[in-house]
Amino acid sequence: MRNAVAGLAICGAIGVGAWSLASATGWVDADERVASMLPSPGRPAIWEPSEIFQAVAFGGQAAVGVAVFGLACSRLRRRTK
Amino acid sequence: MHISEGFLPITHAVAWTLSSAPFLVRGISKLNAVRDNRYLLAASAGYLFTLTALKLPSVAGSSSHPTGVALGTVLAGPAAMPALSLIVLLFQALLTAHGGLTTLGANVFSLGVAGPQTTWLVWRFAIRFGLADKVAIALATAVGSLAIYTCTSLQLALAHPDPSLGVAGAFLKFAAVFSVTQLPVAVIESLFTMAVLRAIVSSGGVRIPGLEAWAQR
Repeated sequence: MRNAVAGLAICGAIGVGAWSLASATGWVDADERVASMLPSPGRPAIWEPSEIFQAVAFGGQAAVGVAVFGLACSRLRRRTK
Repeated sequence: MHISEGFLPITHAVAWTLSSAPFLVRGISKLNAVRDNRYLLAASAGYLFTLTALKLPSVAGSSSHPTGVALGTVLAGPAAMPALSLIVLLFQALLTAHGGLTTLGANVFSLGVAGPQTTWLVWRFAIRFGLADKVAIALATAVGSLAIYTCTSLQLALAHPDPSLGVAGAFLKFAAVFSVTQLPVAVIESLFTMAVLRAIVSSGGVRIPGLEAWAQR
């Protein structure tokens, strides 16, 4: 269980690093690649955060996920004991 | 699998929202009913939250993210996943500009309904056909992940059919782009999910029908 949490935490760190690498090296998100094949929506996006904001938001999401997962796993383990 | 704001006609957005609604209502009632399993739900939500935030470089210059639905589908059941997916997709639509509010119903249908239901069916069939636990979980995870992107391709094809080849042509066009990127990510996700699930079940805190052997190791 502890290994699972540690693995997920490492995975989160790798993921945020990979996201930054993917953005910095110009790897295009598959969703954006498909969206570029579609006709442009008639209206401009009402909310277009910067790359830095997105990186922080994704990192925050991964951190929240790891924290919730870790807490749940520790409770499950305690319940078993 | 995130359809961005404005890329679905309003009729399609409403139709997909109505299609997701019964699954969401059932999922929310299930969340209320399974208070004993709240830690399993929390672990499933945390896993979903983490994996959908991981934008990984893949082949052909594209990047994509794992879907993270398989763990929750096995631990909490496919019925719980639409509600968990709604939380994740709402967070991403509001804070990361991934997805959108009008396309939320369509995205919930692909991530919360199509993926988990496919994962569940493949897993149960794989066990019934005598595949090893590890193989069954890995196979179900990978197929479920690809099913989400297949569903998204279908949603986009219905909204934007190819002028000459129609819905089928548009579907193949979108699915081809998604599958090239998603296949390696799905394979990595299947191996990772298998390892995490095994760690959780073998710790003894969870009894999952079909994975009893893992709990005894």
